[in-house]
Order: sequence, then structure tokens, then C-alpha cells
Amino acid sequence: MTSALDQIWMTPLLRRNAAVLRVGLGSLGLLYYLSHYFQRHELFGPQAFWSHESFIASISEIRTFSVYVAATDALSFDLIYHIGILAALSCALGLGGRISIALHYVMIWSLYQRNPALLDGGDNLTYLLLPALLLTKSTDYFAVLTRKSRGGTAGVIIHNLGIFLIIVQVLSVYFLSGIFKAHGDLWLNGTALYYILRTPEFFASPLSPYLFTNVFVVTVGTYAAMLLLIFITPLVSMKRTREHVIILALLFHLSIAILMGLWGFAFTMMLCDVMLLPESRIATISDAIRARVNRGLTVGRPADGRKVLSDEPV
Amino acid sequence: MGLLVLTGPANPLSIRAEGIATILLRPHADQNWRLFAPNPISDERGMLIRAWTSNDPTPTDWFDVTSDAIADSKRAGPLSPRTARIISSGLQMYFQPTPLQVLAVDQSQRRGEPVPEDQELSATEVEYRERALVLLHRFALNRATEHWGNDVQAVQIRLVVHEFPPFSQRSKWSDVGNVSTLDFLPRNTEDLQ
Repeated sequence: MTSALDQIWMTPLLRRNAAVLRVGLGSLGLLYYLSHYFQRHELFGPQAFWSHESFIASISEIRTFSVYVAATDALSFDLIYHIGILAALSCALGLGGRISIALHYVMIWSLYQRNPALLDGGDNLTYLLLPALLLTKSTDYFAVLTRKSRGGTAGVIIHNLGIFLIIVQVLSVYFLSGIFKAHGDLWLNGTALYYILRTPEFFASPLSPYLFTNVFVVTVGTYAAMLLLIFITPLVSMKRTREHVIILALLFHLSIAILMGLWGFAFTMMLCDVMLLPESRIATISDAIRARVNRGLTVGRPADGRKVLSDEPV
Repeated sequence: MGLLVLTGPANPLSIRAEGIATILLRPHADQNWRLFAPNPISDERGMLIRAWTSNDPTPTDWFDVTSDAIADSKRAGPLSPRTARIISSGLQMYFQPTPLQVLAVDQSQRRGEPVPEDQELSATEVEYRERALVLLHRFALNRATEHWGNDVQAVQIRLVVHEFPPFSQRSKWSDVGNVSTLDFLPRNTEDLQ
């Protein structure tokens, strides 16, 4: 009988989960490019709000890189920006394997550095997870040209290391964000949700006033958010509570997207929630979707496959 | 465990390991999970702008660019641009307490003493504030041009902080609370391009 420890170098774990993460991070990157497409020159171009001088000084101070250093005029900027779009799309589709993931990381990191004023927690998580994703066999599933990767035992160990790093990072985010909240008196006295939803940036008219003026909603919502973040790690490690708490987390992040408009951050966190699901659950869901799609494609077609015209009996 | 120590709340180990944290984590693995923590902001922060055009020596009326940008950020759901964040990030960069200030406030609170006035800023901290102001003024110039046309000669920004009613007065949530403003000197268009 294979021991759990033997699995580390014999079985690549959570490949479907990694594939979902790849599709998601590529798609979110594409969303970032497209949502700023019509303002791209003002936000990221040579004459952007974050001046070229501030940009060069800041990347020099933190000793990093950005390909946008080469974007000295509108044409070169547009070329680089559109290469970024293609890289994000390739990553989402799984075209080009690990090379597309690496290219997407380089391009999206470069874009983040060009205007760090726009970043949120979801972007922070994206640039942490992409390098770890490179280690995994994330193009074995849900890719346009699916090809099971090789690599033998070494390949399995590297893949599982990448999965381990991703899981550790995801659980660290949850725990740390919960612990930091536990330092705040507004979280401890159960009123933090009022102040968050009252802020104009996160105010969702006309629903928000009904929520943040309700004592029960504010108090329970505040404590539930903080406790979920702190205790998700032990609850996810227990089989009995794992899927229930992941569903709670998915609903929590969906509410952040809808109520607060933090779509990018919420979807990134939902991808992290999916990383914690058993791979069998993802397989079941993807098989059900594939069956539904196949059924939809074959409805109205006779068994011999010819097309049915509208007035022709089936 | 190491990740939690280095990126979590300040503790004796993380203070000692600051150098190691810088080498290992920054910038490509830098992380900040103070999401609405330790406390969410309990006020509204925004920016008004006004401009001088070439035809008129008197400035225009003040225009609220923050509300405008926030409305834009909600118009298209997931496809909405994050332009409003230019203002909030710029304000955060400008008003971010320096390490000296954080330390001074912490020590005063431990001793039960009054919190000291702003400490003198280092040259680096002055430069960071100037970058924040350039960011906000370039944004202001763009919005001023959209609003008043291409012959804008100078812009001025006014930062506004509105402390909205606390939770205990939630039934009057839409009332106007204390409002503080901070005006900056106008900047010419050619200095911002």
C-alpha cells in the first residue's frame, strides 16, 4: 500500500486545481488589460499620471524590472501593452505551456510596476502565485492543446512542490489577514462592516444602507469575516468540514465582488478557494459541464449526425 | 512558520529579521495582508480640483473628481477601470506615516503621553510625498482638461477628509460630519508635463 509520503514523488497532486488557477489568473490578467484599455495611455503610457521619472526611480529603488522602461513613445507602449494582452490570453488558454505562464508573469509584473497606485490585494496574490504555478503541471488539463507533461519522478516532485507553495501562500493570506483584523478595535467591537460599506468606494446603492444600519447584519458579518479568515486553515485540513468552509469562503468572496465592487480581488480569492477543494470535486464538476455541453451540441441531431431543418421531422 | 513571522504583525523576531525579510521577500515576494486592517478607514477622502484657463485670471469653481471617478469605477462591473484608486493611493502615499512617526506615536501611547507633532521628514520621505503630489496633480490636470478644455494653464487640488457619523449614529448615516480640507499651491501645466 502506498503511503501518503510516497505520493509526494509518485503522484502529481491537484493537477486540475492548478489548471483552474492557470485559467483564472490568465483571465484576470486579461480582464486587467481590457478594463483599462481605453485609459491605457493615461494610466500606463509614457505620459501617465505616475510619471516616467517616478516609475524609473521606484523600480530602481526596489531593484526590480519592468519592460515598460522601453515604452518611451505611444507606439512602443502600445506594442508592449498588446504583447501583454496576448500573453495573458495564452496563459488562460494554456497555449505554449510554462512559457506562456512565464511570459504572462513578466508582462503583468511589468504593468503593475508601471503604475503601482492601481494595485490591490488580488494583484499582490497574482504575482506571488504565478511563479509557483510555473512549477506545476497546470497545462495537463483545461488547455487548448492539452498534453500530459512528462518529467518522471523529478517532474512529479517539482509539481508537488509548486502545489505545496501555492497552498501555503493561500492559507497564509487567510490567517494573516484575520490576525491583522484581530488587532483592530472596530473588528473586535463588531462594527467594522458599517465603516467599510459606508465608504463611497464600496457603497452599493440602494442595498448598502439596509445592511450597514442593521445591528445584526453588521455585528454578525464583522465577526463572521474575521473568524472565517482565522479558522479556515484548521477547518480546511479536516475532511468533515473542508468543503463546507470552502463553500462559505466562495460565498464570502462573491459578496465582496457584488457589494463592494472588488471584482479582481474577489475572483482571485475564489481561485484560491478552488485550490483547496479535493481534485475529485473539480473532476466531477468539469465532467458534468462537458456532458452538458456535449448534450447541447447533439440535441436535434439524428443518430447519423445530419443537420435537422426546421420543418423536417426528427 | 517563517512566512508568518516575517509578514505578520511586528514581533521581536520580525524586527530582528528585517534584513533577511528584505533579501528573501522584497520586491518579488513582498506581501501586505492588512486588508481593511487593523481598522477600516472611518472617513471619506477625496479630491477637488480647480483650474486657471488662459482667458480668465480668476479660477474656476471647485470640481469633485473623486465622486466622478468612483461613479466610473462602478459603471461596467468587472470591466470597470480602477482610475478612482489613483486618488485614494495618492492620498495614502502622501499621508502615510513614516517609520519615525509610527515609532513616536507607539512610544507615547505606551507611556500615556500626548502624541507628538509630525517628526521632521528625511530627504527620502520628502521625495515620496512629492511623487504622490505629482501623481495627484497630473491626474487633476487630465480631469481639468476634460472638464474645462485644452487651455488650462494651472491646476490646484484640495484634499478633503469627511468623518462620517459613527456606528452609534448609523440612522443618520447620510448626515455630514466633520470636514477637513488641505489646499496645495497651484501648479502650472508645463511643470506637470
